Amino acid sequence: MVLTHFQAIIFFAAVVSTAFAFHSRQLPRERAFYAVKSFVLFVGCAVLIGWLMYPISH
Amino acid sequence: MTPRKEAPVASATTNTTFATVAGLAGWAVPGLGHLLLKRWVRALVYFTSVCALAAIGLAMRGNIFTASAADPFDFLGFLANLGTGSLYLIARALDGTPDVSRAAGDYGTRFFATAGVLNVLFAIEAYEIGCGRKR
Repeated sequence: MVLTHFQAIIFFAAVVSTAFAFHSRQLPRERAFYAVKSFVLFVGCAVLIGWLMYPISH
Repeated sequence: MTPRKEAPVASATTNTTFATVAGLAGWAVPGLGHLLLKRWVRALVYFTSVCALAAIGLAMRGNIFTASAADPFDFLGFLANLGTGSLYLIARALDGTPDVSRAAGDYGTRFFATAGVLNVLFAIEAYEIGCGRKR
């Protein structure tokens, strides 16, 4: 199986965010909010770091 | 000593024993510790998360480390892999060919290691729930 970098980060962020939400929050609403926030931060930070490294590869 | 004072001690011992069993079960099979503690939803989520990460990691031809590691980082990788419990044995039995020369294989290595670390975290949580320190 070959995933692109973006597919890999989406999969990783989705799974880990969901697991963390169930680990650290009790109420369904809190879990949903935590999972979405964590997912956005995971993907956002990966994209940001990717762009910061862009000048190195060029 | 009166029987009234002995009862809480016995109960605490039982709780700790059951919590230890839940923790070890959770390590051996992802989610099993929470299943024993009747936390059905969490058990399902943890089982699915850990198995999905491990399966995709293997499918991407990630490296599965062994105890005979060449350097300290490989040994840390082995410890992380060992966290998946029975999934580590299954991965070793499947004996896939790792390919970390491509990015996909390297991601696979990280996915499997993450599965192990997450599983250890969930096993500790199962222990703490069994002890009554966490809901």
